[in-house]
Amino acid sequence: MNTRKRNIGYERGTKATALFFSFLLLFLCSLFGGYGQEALTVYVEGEANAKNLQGKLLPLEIGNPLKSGESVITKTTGRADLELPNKSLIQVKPNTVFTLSEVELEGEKQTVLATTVGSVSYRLNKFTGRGPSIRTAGAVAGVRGTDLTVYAGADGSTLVVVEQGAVAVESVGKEVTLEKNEAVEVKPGSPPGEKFTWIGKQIDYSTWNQGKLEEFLKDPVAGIDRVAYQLEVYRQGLAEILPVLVRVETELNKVYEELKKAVEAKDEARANQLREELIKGVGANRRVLFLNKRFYALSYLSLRRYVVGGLYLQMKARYITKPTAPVYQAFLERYWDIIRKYEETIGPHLVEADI
Amino acid sequence: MKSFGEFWKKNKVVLILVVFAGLGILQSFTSCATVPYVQKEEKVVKLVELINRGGVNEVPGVANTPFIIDGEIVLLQKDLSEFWANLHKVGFSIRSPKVVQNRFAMMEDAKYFRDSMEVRTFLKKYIDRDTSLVQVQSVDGTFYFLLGREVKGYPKMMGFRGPVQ
Repeated sequence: MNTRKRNIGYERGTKATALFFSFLLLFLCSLFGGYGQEALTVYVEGEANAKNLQGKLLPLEIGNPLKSGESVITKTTGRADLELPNKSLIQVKPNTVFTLSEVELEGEKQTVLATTVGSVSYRLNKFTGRGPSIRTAGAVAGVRGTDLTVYAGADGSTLVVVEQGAVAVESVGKEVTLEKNEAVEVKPGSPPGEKFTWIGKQIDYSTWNQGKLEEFLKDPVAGIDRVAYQLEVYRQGLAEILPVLVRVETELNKVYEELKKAVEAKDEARANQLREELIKGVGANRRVLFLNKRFYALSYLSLRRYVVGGLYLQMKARYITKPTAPVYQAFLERYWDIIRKYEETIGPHLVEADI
Repeated sequence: MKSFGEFWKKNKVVLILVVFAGLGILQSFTSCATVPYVQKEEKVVKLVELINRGGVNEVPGVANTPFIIDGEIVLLQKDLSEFWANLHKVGFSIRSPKVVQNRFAMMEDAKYFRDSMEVRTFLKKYIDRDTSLVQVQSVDGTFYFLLGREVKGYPKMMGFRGPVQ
């Protein structure tokens, strides 16, 4: 009889533990996955790869989904068209790095469509809820029902050209609104420049980018300083989040412990209250902070890899036969400062799959 | 003269062993593709000559992304192509190259490029048993290459560092 009682108790305990861990699993899934915006690959031409969540580079094929956190990297002949669930079209042009991600703002998820280098055209339909944020290394554009092309240069510069609708382009706290056939250029770490009229043929990215590169080469130190400024914005954003995240995670652990005890004590009312707290209260806070932490860390990584890395290769190749040239040495000093900050403060928040 | 049947009866075991040994040797020849690849020094020199005459971009596949230059992981093919083109434009060359180290690449070789999490992850992800670390000494300094199996008669480059004085 005692054995049977013990068995029933054991079974109940096992069930309670199983329920607790099932809930925990569901909660963790809601934290780390399952919240992803997805795009569908509807057209591929030439060589285009997808960098997936495991950090693997795989050839992109028609029908492949692109999940939040994944990137498309096209080669010289590569192009890819992606479709969002509301049928908005994203055209990734050659020599481009495009990333789909999400941030959470005021309790609402926002899709981030980021072009680190290269050019991307958008034909965006109306979105239910918050519209996507179109980003480059140095500028943010808020859009709804708009056709536009974003160019991201090798020096971190941005050019936004609006073909239809209206776009608000923001950088370092200053905003410019563009209407149909208007364009604006933004240098990294600077406010948007004067808007200008652009009618006719699409701008040739290669020519525009070559101009940006030549501008950079005239004064590489000022060029890398501008990118460093933008990197600092991301680094500070991350630095502000981290202490809050640690505090919220401590609170979260306390709630977990309490929930575990409530489940063991079969206090269903208290357990439900704590589950609610994990989903809507402290758990929701943690999810927002975690998403935004990832956003800052990955934005820093992208800018540092594709823009700073690209500029380093340009300078190294040009100065390989005269490495003691003062301008090269001054550039390297700034470059190493960026690398040191990256390895000390950003690296610890990245995982192997990000690399 | 003894018949084959009689010969078989007497030497059955020896014959079976000979057949199995023959099959083993045959298999080792046919499975060359699975034997780790070792770089040949003359091919490395041929590659250096290709770099010196600015021909890297003319041989498709000899330098493809992902690639590592110093500590930078290069994922855009355009950046890599421009790097080789720019090297040639400034008259870069590796004069009197001499292979002083040639062995299988390891994770620990990150230190020859940049001892960082990025480089270690790159090596973990992309090197395999066919990848070699080759150190070339020249009058222009020391260079490190990560090289794979041949592509169109040249070792495939996966990494480049140098000159290290």
